[in-house]
Amino acid sequence: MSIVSRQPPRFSPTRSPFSWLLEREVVRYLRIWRYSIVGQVLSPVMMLLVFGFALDHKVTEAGGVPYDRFILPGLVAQTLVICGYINGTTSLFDARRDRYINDVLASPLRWWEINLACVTAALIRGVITGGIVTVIGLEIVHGGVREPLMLIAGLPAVMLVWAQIGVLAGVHVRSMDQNMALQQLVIQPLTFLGGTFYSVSALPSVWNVASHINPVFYAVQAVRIAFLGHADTPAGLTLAVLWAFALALSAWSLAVFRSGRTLKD
Amino acid sequence: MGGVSEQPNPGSDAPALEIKGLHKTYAGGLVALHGLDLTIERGRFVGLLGPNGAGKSTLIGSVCNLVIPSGGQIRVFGLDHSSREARHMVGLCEQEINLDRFLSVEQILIYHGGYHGLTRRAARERARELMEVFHLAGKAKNNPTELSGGMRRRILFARALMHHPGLLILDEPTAGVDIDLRRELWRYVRSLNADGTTVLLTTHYLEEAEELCEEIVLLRDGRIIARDTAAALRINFGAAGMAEVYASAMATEVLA
Repeated sequence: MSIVSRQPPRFSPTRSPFSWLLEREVVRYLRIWRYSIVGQVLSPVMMLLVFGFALDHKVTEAGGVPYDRFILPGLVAQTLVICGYINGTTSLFDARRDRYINDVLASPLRWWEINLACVTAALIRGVITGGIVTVIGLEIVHGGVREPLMLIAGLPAVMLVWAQIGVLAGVHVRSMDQNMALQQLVIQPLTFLGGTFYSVSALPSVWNVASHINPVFYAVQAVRIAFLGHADTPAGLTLAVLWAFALALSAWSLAVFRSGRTLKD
Repeated sequence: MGGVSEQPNPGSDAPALEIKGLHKTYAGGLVALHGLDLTIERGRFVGLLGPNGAGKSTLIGSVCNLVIPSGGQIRVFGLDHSSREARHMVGLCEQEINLDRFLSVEQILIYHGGYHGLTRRAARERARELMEVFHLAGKAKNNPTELSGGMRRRILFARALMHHPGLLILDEPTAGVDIDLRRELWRYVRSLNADGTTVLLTTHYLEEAEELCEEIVLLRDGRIIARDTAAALRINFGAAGMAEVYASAMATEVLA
């Protein structure tokens, strides 16, 4: 036995472990692309067709544009919201439930790299699905992007907010039932009340005020400003609120990963 | 091989594992480890025995950064156990079959190598090598959910060895495994140990521990109650075999 001659290897990565985890996170949803991509594109496109065509004759104009063109930004925002949320929850919850997260936690990956990989994978998924919905949607409604800078400045914040909410939920939920309840009791009502299908200025004052504390509302506003050039809130306020949410949630999420208390026993 | 180099590590004379005053109290108030001390020198093959709830998995989880200790110090080859370098030196084969069901067998191994800093080429080569060793080559593209329990155990072993760990921790790795596979796995682990890899094994198979391990540590209620070679333990407990040693040790009163 040659105990002295066989020294344990020094850790000097030739490829970043972070890039491997990010790749794994992307591979995970690409492997199930029928559900993770096609499914999430189909739903908003169907909504656009059904609501757009069904109500186009009754609601001739909303926000100064045809109704289908009015709801498209909200549907794109909803896609980003749901993508971000579902990616974080399913990826982390599955890894925790089946305990294969231990393979990552025991590896040399740093706590912030694990968080960053989960969030970045959700952002990439958002870009893919949101991008496809945007292209198909704009083709259907014969629309365009009026404020591309708003897309560049606002959409990363929208995706970051929901990716971090998804990651936080994925870290904390204890069962599939809890996960489903969170989606049905919190996320769905928030998306429904986010102003996709109506302008909040038409709502009674209580609901109008309530809408302004809903993060989905600002996501819808950001995309609506980018597509139509205007919305219920000014661009500056929309961006400020979105980035404040994004930074606060990122700080919270990073603190959770740093302490490791909900990921480890 | 990319990602690792055969450089001597900073604490070249340090033990493979050095635990001082390790204490763990879970959120519900359960005290799993009571200020435990344990040192394992390099190249040793040590068995950790104890009943369910003795603290074996908590001890292993603490070493591998899966459990947050309430107190104490853990050093791996002289380095703080939570450092990246220390984590790279430990290979863990868990009791539970915890394989990523979104990946194929080959991908599971390759990504594990990646988390330890290997290039794709190096990870693929190492994965192929281990799939040959553990007779998994024909199942490389399969998802682990399509494989038998024995096959999944082999994947766990292969995964733990992907990054050439200096300290291999095996937490009841042969639970529910047939005798042929057990023999085959132990033959391989013995050869690794002969090559200098330190092995810490927990098992409920007492004869297995006696046959394989140079030293046996008996754990009960989060405390080490005996530690010696199997032969010395038999003498100390006046027992004919390990089963008798184990029964006597577990019946002994533990002082708080």
